[in-house]
Amino acid sequence: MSYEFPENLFFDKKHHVWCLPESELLVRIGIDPLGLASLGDLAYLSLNQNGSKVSRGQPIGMLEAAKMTGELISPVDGEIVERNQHVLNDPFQVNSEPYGAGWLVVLECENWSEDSKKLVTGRKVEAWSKDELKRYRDHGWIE
Amino acid sequence: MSEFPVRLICTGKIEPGLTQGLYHSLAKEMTESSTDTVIICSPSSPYLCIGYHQVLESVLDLEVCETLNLPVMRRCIGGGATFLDCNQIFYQCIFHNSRVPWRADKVYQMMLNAPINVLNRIGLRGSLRSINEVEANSVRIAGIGGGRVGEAMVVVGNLLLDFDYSLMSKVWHVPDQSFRNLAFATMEERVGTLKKLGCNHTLESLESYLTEAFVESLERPVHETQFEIQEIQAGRNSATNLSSFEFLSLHYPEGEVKPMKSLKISADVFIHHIRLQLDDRISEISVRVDNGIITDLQTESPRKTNIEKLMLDTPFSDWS
Repeated sequence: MSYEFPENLFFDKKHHVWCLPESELLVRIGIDPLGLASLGDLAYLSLNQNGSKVSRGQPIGMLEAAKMTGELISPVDGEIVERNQHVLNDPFQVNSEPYGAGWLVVLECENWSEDSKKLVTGRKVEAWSKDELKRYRDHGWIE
Repeated sequence: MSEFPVRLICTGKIEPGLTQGLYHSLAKEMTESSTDTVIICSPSSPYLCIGYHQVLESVLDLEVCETLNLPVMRRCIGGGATFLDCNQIFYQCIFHNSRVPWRADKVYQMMLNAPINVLNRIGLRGSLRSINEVEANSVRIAGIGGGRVGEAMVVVGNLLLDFDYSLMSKVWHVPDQSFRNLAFATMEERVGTLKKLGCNHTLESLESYLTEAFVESLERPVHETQFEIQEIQAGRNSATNLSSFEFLSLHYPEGEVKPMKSLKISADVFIHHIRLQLDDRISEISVRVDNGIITDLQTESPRKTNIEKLMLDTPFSDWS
């Protein structure tokens, strides 16, 4: 598996969820390869309904792999305005293209300028992702 | 050895809702400062429990469930529909995610050592297969599930003292009788019970063995204790949510709800239902698949012999 961390994205350090701001209000959300590595290939995926309010740190969906389930934790406050129907029908797309076709939801953010300060982006991504990859490899969590 | 203590709570037989509600409420409330907990319990009356992502009406025949007076709950972790009753003993591990291994296989090893050691202690060959399947003498003897709920890592499982195979097969919402017959026969073969394996232990003795085994295997200080009244109330509230119409209706699809087409019986053994066109005629066929290979099938088709010649010992992937 390739562990890439594009610098144009904003990463939630704890939950390995990425954000891509698409306008002043709208942010596309997905899960990064390290977030997926702990679960493995997804068999089922559910996402909260469009229109539902979400809070930073609260679940916005559930991921189920063959042996383990995990919650998808929102990195920002907002409201779900779009869900990726393709991944709902074929959850493995999240594993195969976590930054592309495997995106999960689009949120209308309440306060992106504040929430984004808690995320890692730009030139800080390289150092953070290097440290994370080292930590994961040192623990034997990934190869 | 980590100094973080673990609470171990043996409840004996408790109301069915609490056997799901307690571990859910503990998990949802867990923070890093919470105490990790192992619950050993058994339901006082039978019920059914479906996995988080299952469509209720697709996996269970609700009319049959009602006739048999079997309540249904949905859990927040995955897996399939299970029939649970007082002939099963549950172990439920609720640990903060910072105090368990990151990898799922290591989590299961940590939590399932105890039940496997119990099986060995009572004279069976206990083993862990396919990451999280507990086997005794090479047959499945337990249903295991795990997941992250809030900040908690939860692993739940059971040991089957006895099991009502017939009742379990009656409540499935299946495509046809051939599917039910094949699934029933395969389940009888692949899922064992302590009784079938010649071990006539009581719930009380297994509770005692599991307690000792968890104390030995967790390598942490383990304190046996009881639930606080508030925790029991929180468990009841959680059970109410898990059995609510709203929660049971999750994932309801648009249009007609169809019966299940696949059923996992044990690690690497599945029953699938397929429609096959042979010479302009459609045949409905239920197949048993062991490690990807069709090993048995049932069909109402008059061309059963031909279908068997075509399909048996071939990869299921050739037909699906």
